[in-house]
Amino acid sequence: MANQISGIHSGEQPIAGNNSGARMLLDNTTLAFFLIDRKYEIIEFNRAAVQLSFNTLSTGQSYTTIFNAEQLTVVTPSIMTAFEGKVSSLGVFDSHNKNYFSLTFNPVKNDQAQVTHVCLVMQNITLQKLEEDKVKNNQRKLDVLINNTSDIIWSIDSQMRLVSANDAFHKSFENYFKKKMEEGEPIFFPEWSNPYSKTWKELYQRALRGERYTTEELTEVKPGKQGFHEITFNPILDDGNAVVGVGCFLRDITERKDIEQKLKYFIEQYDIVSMATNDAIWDWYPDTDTMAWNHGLKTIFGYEEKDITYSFAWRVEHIHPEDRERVTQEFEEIFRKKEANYSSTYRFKCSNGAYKYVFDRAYVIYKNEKPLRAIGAVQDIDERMSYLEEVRKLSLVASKTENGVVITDKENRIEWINNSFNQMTGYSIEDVLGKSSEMFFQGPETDVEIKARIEEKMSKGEPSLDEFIFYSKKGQRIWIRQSITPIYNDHGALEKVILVQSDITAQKHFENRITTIARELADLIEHANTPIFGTDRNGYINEWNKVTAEITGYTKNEAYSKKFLETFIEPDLWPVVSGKLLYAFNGTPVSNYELPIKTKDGEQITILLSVTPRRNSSQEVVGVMMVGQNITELIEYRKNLEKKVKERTSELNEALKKERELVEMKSKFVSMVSHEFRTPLSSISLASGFIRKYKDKLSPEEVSAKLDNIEKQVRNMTFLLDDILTIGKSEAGKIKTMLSSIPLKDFFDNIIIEVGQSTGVTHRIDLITDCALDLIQSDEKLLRNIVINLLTNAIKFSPGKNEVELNVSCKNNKLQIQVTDHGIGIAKEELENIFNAFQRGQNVGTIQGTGLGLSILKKAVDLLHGDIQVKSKPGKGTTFTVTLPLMYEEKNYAC
Amino acid sequence: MLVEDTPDLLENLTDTLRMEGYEVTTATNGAEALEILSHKVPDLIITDLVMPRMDGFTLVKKIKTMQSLEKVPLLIFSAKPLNDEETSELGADLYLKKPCPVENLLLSISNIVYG
Repeated sequence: MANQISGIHSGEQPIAGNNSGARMLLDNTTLAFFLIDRKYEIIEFNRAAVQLSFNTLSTGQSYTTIFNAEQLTVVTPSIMTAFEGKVSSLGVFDSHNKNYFSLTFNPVKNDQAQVTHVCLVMQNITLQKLEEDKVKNNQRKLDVLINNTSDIIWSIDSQMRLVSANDAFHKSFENYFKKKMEEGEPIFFPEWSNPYSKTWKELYQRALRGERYTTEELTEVKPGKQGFHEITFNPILDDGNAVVGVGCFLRDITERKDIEQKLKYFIEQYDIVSMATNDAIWDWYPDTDTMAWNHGLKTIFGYEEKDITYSFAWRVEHIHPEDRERVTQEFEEIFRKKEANYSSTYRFKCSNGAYKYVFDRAYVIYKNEKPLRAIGAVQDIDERMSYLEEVRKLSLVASKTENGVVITDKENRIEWINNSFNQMTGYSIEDVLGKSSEMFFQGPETDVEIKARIEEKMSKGEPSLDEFIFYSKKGQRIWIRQSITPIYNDHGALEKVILVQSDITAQKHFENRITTIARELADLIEHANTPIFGTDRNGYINEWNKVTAEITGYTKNEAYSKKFLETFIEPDLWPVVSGKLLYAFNGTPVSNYELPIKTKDGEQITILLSVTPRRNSSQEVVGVMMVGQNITELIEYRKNLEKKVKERTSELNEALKKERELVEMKSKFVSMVSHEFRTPLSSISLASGFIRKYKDKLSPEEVSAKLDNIEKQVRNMTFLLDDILTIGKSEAGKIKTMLSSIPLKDFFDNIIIEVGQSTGVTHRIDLITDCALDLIQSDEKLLRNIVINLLTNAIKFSPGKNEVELNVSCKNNKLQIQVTDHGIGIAKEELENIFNAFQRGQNVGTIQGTGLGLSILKKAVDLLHGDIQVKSKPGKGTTFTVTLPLMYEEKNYAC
Repeated sequence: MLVEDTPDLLENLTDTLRMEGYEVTTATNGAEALEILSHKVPDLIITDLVMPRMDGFTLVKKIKTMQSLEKVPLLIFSAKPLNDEETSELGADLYLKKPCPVENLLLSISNIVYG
């Protein structure tokens, strides 16, 4: 404005021609007008001036009153310049109210062109200034920016001429073309042999069409140096939105591109690694609390997308409750200490609820003391932890066990021993470390066989279980049971060898004792003086002591492994015997069983057996033991005894029977006798009663007859008594034979007469003798008895048949008396019983008889050591033949 | 009817009974007795028990089966001792044991015969 005012051309009508109008103008402008005369006094001012003044303003005041001292230093020269006729402009700053003022001193000339006054135009240009300053600042900044950047910035007009360019542009241009491009020059020129020039042209044209865009081009900004450039084209529009130019902005993004490539590469690498790694990788941005995971979360822990919340809290939630606090604290500690590396071991929850041991390693990036980013790799160490746990347990076992544990390397050099080993052997780790485990079985009593076997197994890397004598540090003998277990790694190579040893000294002693006892027992069995043998479950002989061998004739070798049943027992006894054995096999002992056994010679012996089940240590029956007694002789004895008993019993029975018979006979005898007596007694009673009762009526003959009858009865009874007495005597053995010489002929003659008389001479008895002897020796009484009995019987039992033959002969030292009748005879069935007392033939009818006759006869014959025979035919007759031994010497025989 | 095997006794008995006025028919054994009884019905049968050929027991049994002899009283005159069972089994009207005094015998007989 000041310029404009000072730029008033002469010749034009001035405004001051009209005062009131001028005054109005002056008072309504924001410009402050001061008119200063040559006295440097203000003679005129406007309203704005008043407002602008720092102090009170009045005419006649020196101009200096408007300004402060500092300002005057620059104002005064200016005003003076103006009074010299030159327009002077300057800026002034009021530090008091922080305002900027622009001052223009305009010389006022009179008509003579002399400067009479100076018109000071003052304008508060604070805002402007500020704006200007701002713009200037911006400009400056922009310039700085523009010219300090390596980015190339230029603009072209619609004719593709350079309008402006920054330093970088020029520099690049110069570098390239070795000359400077001026503003206004076309951006392309023919000599420009930039291979990209065609592309450039297109790019400009595109922008000139009004398109605002950015493109990445591979181009050169230095000769020979290709690079990636990012070029932005901004079409410049005028008010009418017509494109008047293009603002261009070129950035070398080669490096960036390079970095981008590298980054891409790294990301690819990362992805590959991330894919390849078995770890679960997490990536956490604390400020947004986003935590990303790679696929490891699925592969290791089994989580699907839907199960995962990508926040830090989710991870913490899935840490094992027992580890959570610790892990959280660790993390906070790291943050607090601003440490970059973090690692921790904890248990992480899998999708199935189980926990896995993990090793988490993280790297934290801080910015401005705050964690910007953390990346972690979570490694599944569960197996390893389990393995470690196992190892821990095992080592606990190894340390606590009472067994000695020795661990060697694959060369059998001792690496480690447990406490118990030390206790057991006296060797400490220092004593044995590095030494071969073979040192343990090196004593004089060590079984070389076992040693060799162990060594062989160790060399082959095979497990082994052995018992041998071990020498403690003090040289004490210990019985050791040792197990050798080779340990192979995953590749099948031998890594370590573990030896576990237990002290079995006591056990061995016990075993020895047992063995001794067993041997003693075996001896006991072998040399027992009774047969002891046994079989297994299948019946094969597995026990056979000496005595058994002796009595059976089979040696132990012969008997062993033979089937007991088939070899020694008769087939017909197999069911029974195997039944007994079965009892024993089922656990029930059998005692006192008489077992017949075949010996080797084919004889049979009998063993009284006890069969006992034989049990093993688990109480199962594994066979039978049979302990026996050879009772063959006893059996014989018993048989005999039984036989004897039988015999005796039957004898006894016989005797009893006879006894009974005898008793019966006796009672029969008694009743018969009483009966026999009663009959004659009845007759007597009747006869005598008759007489008494009818004596008056009876004739003497009748009476006499009765009396005869009575006498007859008495006589009969007497005979009976005699017979009975005879029997009695003979029974009692009281009859003694008295031998005397008997004249044969006389004897028999007399008897015949006697018998005839007593029987009423009803029969004729023919006597035929045939004996050389005159005398015979015998008991006369008995002989009489015999002959009389025979004859009377013959007569009695042949009523009507009157002939009876009596044959007497001597032959072979024997006297034979034969009596034959032709009477009723005796039935065949009755012949054997006729000599029994009171036996009467069925056919005797009314023929009188006691029934004792023949029995007496028999007795007499027996007493004379003779014999009596009977031959008879019922109805025809009977012949009795009595044979008696003669007492005479041979010389008496005539024949 | 008198049945008795011993001849002397038979004789004595017969004589005694005849003297008393009884008519006496004799037999020496059971078979003989039956023979006679088949056509002759006595007022009284006196029999011994132990006899040959057919003893008294059998005879008595046989008599009991004979309707004609139903009303005829039976007297056993025997030496054989009998117990109560045997006696009742025989079922005789009277049993007399030998020897028996004449008076007793005659009295018993007259009781039976004449009521």
